[in-house]
Amino acid sequence: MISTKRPKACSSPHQTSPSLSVATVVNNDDLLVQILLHLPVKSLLKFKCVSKHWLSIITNPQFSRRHYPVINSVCALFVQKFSHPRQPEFDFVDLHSNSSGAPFRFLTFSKDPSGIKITQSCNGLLLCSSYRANSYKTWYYVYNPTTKQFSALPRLRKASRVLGLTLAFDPWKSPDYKVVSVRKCDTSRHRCLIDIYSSRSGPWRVSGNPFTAATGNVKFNGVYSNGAIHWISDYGPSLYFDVDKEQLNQMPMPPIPDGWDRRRVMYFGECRGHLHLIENYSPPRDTPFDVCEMKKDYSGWVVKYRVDLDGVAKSFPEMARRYLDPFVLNYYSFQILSVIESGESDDYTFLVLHVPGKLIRYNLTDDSFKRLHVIGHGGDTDMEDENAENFTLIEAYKYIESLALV
Amino acid sequence: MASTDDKVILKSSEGECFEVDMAVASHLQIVKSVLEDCEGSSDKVVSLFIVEAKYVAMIIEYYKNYVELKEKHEEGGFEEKLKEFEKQFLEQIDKKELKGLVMAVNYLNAPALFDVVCTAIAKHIENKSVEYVREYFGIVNDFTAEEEAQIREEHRWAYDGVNDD
Repeated sequence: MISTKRPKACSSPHQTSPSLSVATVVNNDDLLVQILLHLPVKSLLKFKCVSKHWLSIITNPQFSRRHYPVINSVCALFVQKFSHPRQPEFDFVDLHSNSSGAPFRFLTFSKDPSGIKITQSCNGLLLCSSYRANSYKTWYYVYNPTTKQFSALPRLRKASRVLGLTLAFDPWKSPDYKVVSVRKCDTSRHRCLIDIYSSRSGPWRVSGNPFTAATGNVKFNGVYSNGAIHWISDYGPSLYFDVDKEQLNQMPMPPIPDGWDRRRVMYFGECRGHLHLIENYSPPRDTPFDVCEMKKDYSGWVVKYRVDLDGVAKSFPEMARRYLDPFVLNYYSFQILSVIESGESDDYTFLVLHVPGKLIRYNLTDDSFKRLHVIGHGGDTDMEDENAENFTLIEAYKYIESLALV
Repeated sequence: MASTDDKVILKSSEGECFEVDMAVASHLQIVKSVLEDCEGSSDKVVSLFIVEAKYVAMIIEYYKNYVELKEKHEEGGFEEKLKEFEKQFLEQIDKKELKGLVMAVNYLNAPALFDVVCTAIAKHIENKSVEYVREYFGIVNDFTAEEEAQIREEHRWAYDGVNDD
């Protein structure tokens, strides 16, 4: 710091406010928006009630478009259970703390008489559909569980021929989403057609020409990752569809081992731009198994981790069957719900396992594991008594906080 | 006389003067444009009418280090070293001063530091209660009790895990 004798100074042409001490941060909208853009979604939702002004900024569509979700922010799982007769029931499993209450137990955002289920989670948005409705009465919805906004998709033509729908949403590329439907052609049993709905340009339209697929064996409720939708088949070729180019390609798959006539896929999903595949050919115990990841250039799968569940079975003996059912082939009752790459460090990856009555977090980097959640038993369900013999499959969908518009 | 050519004097709202290298001051867009407007004038004094001396000092400290680190780590590693420095830099600043600093940086139009301070404020309030945030920014709650209760009810889970003020 120095003193100067020069009394005359160039004056700034940018004098706007007379004094910073009078003006405050909150009177300057641009400044306030810049600060708010750095907040996670949960804080933004909390701060909606600071004042009317804050509410209007946070709920402004322009603001939502500028606010990107954190790229690795899977913060919880929605666990979908089918024990309730009229609609699926959800458990909310917080992956970081145990404090948060569930955002919902049933999906009731729309008055759908047949109940609503989740079919896919994609970067913060959920693809949902009517639960118990025949194909003509099935509605499809895109739902943002964070903001609780939803949008019902226009009705599909030839609804009875629809094989599956997949949501394609990548907020880091575009605020718009697309939904890709695959249906059987009218003319031939094994010919399929793709229809695309775009949130920007509206109605369903046919994409490209019909293609051949073993329709019974391909899971057309696909997995979206890196701009493409992936459909695996346990028998015939597996496919992936570049959503922007509208181009269909064959996806390489590991060979089916000798002695097996079809794939035994235990898990197929994505996290942080990585596709994960877990197949299992180790009866009767179903362990060990490999967690594979697709190479970036689609040249094939690499084994990332090998998992042995004998240690888990020792700590959770309820997962072992008392007798070996020759038709079931497996001795351990478990299910892989999710492979999650956590943001904190690069190699912090874990499985979420479902064993009778419980969810377990199994760290792939050091093979440690712990109980994550006891599956709730609401009014009509009785999961408490779930054991290795009456093990029922459930589904888990990643919850990523997002302000995305639907 | 090269030494005076690449210096500039920044004058705070109290009239306190700071002699700064041009390489440092040029990161403040407003200083740059003032000097361009005054080109040819022998005066190299820029009055920052509304910025208090303590903030001028902070901003100069930040950009002095920024420039030094950039020179020293030209080959690479600059980003990491800068991150380290930013952490220390922010630790010295009182939470109340962050608000004054962000106003000053916004006025001087200094993008790198602006982002750092916005992030720091966001981090500071992220897990705070609504009441704390109102007090921190001096905001008057203009919701009725019913309205506020209704908004809170919409996202009840978002209010869990609030830190002590």
